[in-house]
Amino acid sequence: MECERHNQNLSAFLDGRLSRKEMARVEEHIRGCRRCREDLAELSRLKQVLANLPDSEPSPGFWNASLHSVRTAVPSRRAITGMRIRQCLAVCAAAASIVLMAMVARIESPTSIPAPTEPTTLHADSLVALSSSLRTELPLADTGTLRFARTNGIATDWADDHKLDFE
Amino acid sequence: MLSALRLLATSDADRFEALVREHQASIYRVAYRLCGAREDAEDLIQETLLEAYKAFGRFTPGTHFDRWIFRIMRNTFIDRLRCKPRVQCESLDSPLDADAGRSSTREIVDHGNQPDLRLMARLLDGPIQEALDALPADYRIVVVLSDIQQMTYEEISKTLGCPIGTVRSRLHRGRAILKDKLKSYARL
Repeated sequence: MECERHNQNLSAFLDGRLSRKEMARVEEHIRGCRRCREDLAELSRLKQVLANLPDSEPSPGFWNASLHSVRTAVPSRRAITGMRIRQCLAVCAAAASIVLMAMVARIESPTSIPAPTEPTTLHADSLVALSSSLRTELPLADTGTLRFARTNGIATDWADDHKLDFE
Repeated sequence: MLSALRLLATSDADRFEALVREHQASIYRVAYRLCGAREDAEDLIQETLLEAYKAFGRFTPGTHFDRWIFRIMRNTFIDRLRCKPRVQCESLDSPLDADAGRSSTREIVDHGNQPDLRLMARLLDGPIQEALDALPADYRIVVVLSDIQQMTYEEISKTLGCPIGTVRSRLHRGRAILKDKLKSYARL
């Protein structure tokens, strides 16, 4: 039991990774335990052998080929950034074209301005009624029309609003 | 000279290449000891470099490139192991030829009490690699980084993103298994 407990610490003891207290305990144990002493010696030699293993070499030209392959397989960050900028510009250009086309279409086919009609002669009371219903900003040029409207109780808000008084 | 190369490199690709070349010996050493064969090591490195280059924007200049790439290599290595069909590991203790009642075991070479360390390492290279190949991946990675690549517990802990206690226990278990497997080859 005690051997198992100290045995687990042998690697850390070998690497100098135990606290002073723990190191002292392990040292005391291995002084009196042949098995743990042998295990420690074997671990030490294994560690040294692993540290001295010969280096192996890759195939000739491996690094050049490998790095070239990485560069061609993955576009560079600059290339990616440039591509994204071009994509963004293309989208903006397309959107601007659509907006421009819509504006041009709207100018060429106006729907808000009514088509001019043939002038017609209207009687004053018809004109007042029409004006009232339209609430037009255009004041009546005919003072008589205004007088008629006021006399007959037809709404002349538009004239009052504009402080028009033809009298 | 390679550091100067790094300063002169302007694009990401150039900087990446300069860093890889600076650490190429270590990169190959670790990959080779993880895989146990040149071709597998080269495949592992190729995949690792591809992943590393894609993620190069996340690498902080001035920090340890080797640790950063070893972490990517570890992840790539584990992923490859998951995808590969399980390979029957040959026991170092099993007889070589068991038919017709005859069997022979591997020859055991005893190099005496105090063999030259480098010679011993060269002669045991094959058996050591076989023993490494038979280790669980997590133990193998820690033993390779500690005893072959000579990294400290702290460096391994940061590289693998695991606590130092985990590094310590995996290293101990990995070494203990290797020691037992190699006992019959030479008096370690």
